[in-house]
Amino acid sequence: MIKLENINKTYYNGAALHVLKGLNLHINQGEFVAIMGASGSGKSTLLNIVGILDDYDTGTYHLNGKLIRELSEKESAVYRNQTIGFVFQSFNLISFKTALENVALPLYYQGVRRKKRNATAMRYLERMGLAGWEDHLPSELSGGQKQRIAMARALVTNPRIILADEPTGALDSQTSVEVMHLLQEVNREGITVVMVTHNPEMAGMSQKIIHIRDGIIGSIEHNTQRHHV
Amino acid sequence: MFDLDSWQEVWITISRNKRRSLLTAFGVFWGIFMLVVMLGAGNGLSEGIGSEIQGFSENSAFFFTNATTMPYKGFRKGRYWNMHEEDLAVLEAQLSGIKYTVPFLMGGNVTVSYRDKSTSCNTKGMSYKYNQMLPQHMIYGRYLNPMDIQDKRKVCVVGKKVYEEIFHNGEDPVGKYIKLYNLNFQIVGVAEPAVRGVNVNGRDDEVIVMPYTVMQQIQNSGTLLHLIGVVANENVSMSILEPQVESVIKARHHIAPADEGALESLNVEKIFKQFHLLFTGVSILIWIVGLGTLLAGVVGVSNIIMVTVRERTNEIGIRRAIGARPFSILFQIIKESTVLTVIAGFLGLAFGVFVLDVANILFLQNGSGDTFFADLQIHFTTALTAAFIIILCGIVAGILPATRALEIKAIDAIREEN
Repeated sequence: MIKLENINKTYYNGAALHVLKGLNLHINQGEFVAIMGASGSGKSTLLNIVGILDDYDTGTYHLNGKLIRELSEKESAVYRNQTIGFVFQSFNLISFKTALENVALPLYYQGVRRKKRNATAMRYLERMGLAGWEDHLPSELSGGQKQRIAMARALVTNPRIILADEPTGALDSQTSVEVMHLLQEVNREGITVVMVTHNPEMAGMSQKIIHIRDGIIGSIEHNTQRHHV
Repeated sequence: MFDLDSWQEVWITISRNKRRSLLTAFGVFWGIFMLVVMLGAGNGLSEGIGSEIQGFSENSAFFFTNATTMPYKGFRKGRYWNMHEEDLAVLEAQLSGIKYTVPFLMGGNVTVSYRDKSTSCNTKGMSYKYNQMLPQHMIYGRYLNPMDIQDKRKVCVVGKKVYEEIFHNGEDPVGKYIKLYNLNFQIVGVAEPAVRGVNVNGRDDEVIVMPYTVMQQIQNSGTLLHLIGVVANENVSMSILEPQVESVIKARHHIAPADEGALESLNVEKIFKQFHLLFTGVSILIWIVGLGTLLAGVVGVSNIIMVTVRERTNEIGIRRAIGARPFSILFQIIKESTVLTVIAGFLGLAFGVFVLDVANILFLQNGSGDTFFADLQIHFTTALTAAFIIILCGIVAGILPATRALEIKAIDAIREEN
């Protein structure tokens, strides 16, 4: 599903910063993977490369067997739209759009007609337990609700992969657990979930924990016993 | 394809900061408003002056004599000389570019009386051809005709203002006799100039016109003429004909060919050309100033859209992350600037036309007719051009911010948060 080989990435902001140093990673379809590591270890960079939000310098990245390398903005937009769903720490909802509009936005960019896309978006909102909240603006909702909207938005295009960057970072422990349960539920349907987190407790709810150290994979920890908090 | 959602979004963006959008839009509004008002005023001026000279034979010139300034063929300089009626026949015979010639004689100030009323006015000795060169509007009767000239009839055409002085209002004076130069002249018509803006030797509504052949007898001056008018054929430019006429006349009267002062001319075509040049200049100036003002407004719009793009870095980044193609972002920004510009611009256009209309009603329709302006309005094609310019400006204003928006990558938005 996701196959990274010998990935190198250096940032040039003043001094050159070699973030990923020949990283190799395979993630299979249907896995639930948590990526952990210290600040600056390169875990967010890795997630950005996997999400085609950022480019890499050398190495190869295959997504679904397709080499992702120097895609045009348009191609990468289509890939992101169709195969990947994003969940961010800060939710990244569009503030002047209602919950329903936010969820429907990826479908808008697919060219789905208004009626159909609103119906689909409504279905996902209901699945996230947000029926009745569709006309509210993000500012009128709690953090947990916002993150559930973000998840509905990530899922609405029926992607193969969900990429979550610190999805529980801005939530209290109670709602964090709720969000994690939702991610697990999504994963049970066969969607690959890749999550970056600081929180060992959240990481513990995944199948596989990948520790990144200094730009390469430090260790991989298999969770045979999945926690259910 | 009408994409309601994207238009809604445009409206949300514009109305999110109403005061800012309003102030920005005002720049464009004012630019178009000024352009329209100035174009309308320029148009009114040009139409106004145009209507004053409408009907006058443009391709013509007047010639009159002065003392010579050069000795020639044994004549000393400073000699006084005059043109004669015979010159007209020679000119028409020798120069095929001449359509016709018009003789003029000035009669000076006389007292004119009818029954118990009298007034004083100027007289002119004219030909019937004058009516072709500079059409007269006949209130009563007719203008001079060839028989009047040929038979030296003691008839006259009275100017409207002279008529008003010596006749009762509404009285038909045709056939009546008035007394001037101690002679009785029969009135054949009452005239006022149809071309209000042009006068040759005094306003035609303030004089009494008689056949120049009669004037010659009164003045006892033989065939002498004071002024010659020459009208050229349509395919001949007066500027080319003018020196030819001068050389023929000079040769006949033993004037040095190089003597500029002896024979003076007034080339009407040249004057008209200068007028046209002036109006073209005024209109170019109007467009430069108007478009300059508009440009300032457009720069304002571009600037504000640039600011909104900056403010929306995060939002645009999110859109990119969830699959917005670059084109849709580009199009969205250009739509925003276009909508803002078009609303403001069309309002300015409408308001400008409205102001011109009000000015038209206030100043022209109730006015005395003594203004230089007529029909303060812009042409429909000008309005269409203005509309086209507005739309173009909107698109241009959006290009820079849109390319800036394209530079925003999905990752920038996400980084900004962390």
